[in-house]
Amino acid sequence: MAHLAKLLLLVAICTTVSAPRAEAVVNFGGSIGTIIPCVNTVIYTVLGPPRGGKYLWSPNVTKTYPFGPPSHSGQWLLGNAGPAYFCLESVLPLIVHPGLLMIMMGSSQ
Amino acid sequence: MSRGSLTSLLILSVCIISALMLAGQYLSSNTETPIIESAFIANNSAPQRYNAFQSSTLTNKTPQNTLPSNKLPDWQDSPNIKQAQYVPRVLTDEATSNNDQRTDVEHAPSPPTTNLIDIWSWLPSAKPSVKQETKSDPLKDEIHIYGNSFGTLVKKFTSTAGDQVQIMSDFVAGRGKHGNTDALVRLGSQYIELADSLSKLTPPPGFSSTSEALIRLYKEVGEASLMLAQATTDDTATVSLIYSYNDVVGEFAQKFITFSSTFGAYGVTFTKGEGGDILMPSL
Repeated sequence: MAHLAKLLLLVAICTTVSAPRAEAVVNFGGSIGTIIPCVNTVIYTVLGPPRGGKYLWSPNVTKTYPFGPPSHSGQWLLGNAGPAYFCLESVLPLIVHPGLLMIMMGSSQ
Repeated sequence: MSRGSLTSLLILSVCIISALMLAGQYLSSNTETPIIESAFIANNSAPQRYNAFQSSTLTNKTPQNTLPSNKLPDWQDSPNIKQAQYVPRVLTDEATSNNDQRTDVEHAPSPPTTNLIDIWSWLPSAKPSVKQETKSDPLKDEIHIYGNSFGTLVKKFTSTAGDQVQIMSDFVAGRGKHGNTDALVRLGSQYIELADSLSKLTPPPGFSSTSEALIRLYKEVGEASLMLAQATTDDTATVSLIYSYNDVVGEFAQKFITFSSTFGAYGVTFTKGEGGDILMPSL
């Protein structure tokens, strides 16, 4: 019973530490797992480790370095991201993907 | 060539190298060589030492095996060996047989000991590196402190608020449901509080307009979040609110770029772990 309690405590600590938090601005970096072009001209990406999460690239906002916007799965991205933003994958029916807006972004080729 | 010959050659080479190194070590460490014939030693201080040696010990008695100063070789003034100096030394075995000479030798200053070749010069020196002190710029320091204070407040917001993306996902999925907007309202309020905290910082010269604009946008993001929380099951109204919210966040991002670029313009950088590191992308 004591071992189980210790294990649960360890899991709880790990979950708390690794949980994503609200970010006013956060640094991110990782390879693209999922990439979706949205109807409101932004690109929705889900990044893997080391600093993964859901991030959105915007043509009007994101300061993009030479290799351009996110283009394919497996591409590496690095930058910082700001408040939550919305990708409209479809309006009817309404399909929305929230993610953090990329403020500055550089990528691999 | 057989394997045995190669091994012998290798061992011989190692022996020769070791012998050379030991010889060099002996030469470099043997500063008080008792028996040395007259030597030519290239040393900037050799003339002065030689003169001191002459005046202190050789004024009255000149050892038999030393050359008088007026018999220096003619090539001493040769332009190719300007630094060379003829330095007479006394043979101690002869001095032993002559008490007067021995006394002179014992009281004589040690001869120049600089070697012609420093065989250890190829070894890297173990001198401690001297860090150059750079003059600190008060304006840069002020900007650096401001950036760190700004970033620390933003990081504090990050640690106290919940997962922003998850809050938005939950909100979109459960629009119109009672209690679903609480987290979003709380998030909007925290953005406004963050703006209030940031506005209490005194910006350094050159940062007033950019920081004011960014702080205003932090507040507007909070207000847009509160507006978004009013979305209902009406998809058209929701899309309209989402577009409005996105516009505010997009403007925020542009102001943030301007703000962070201003630090770069002043040559202020932040290392990983500092509060201001959020202004510069890094892992």
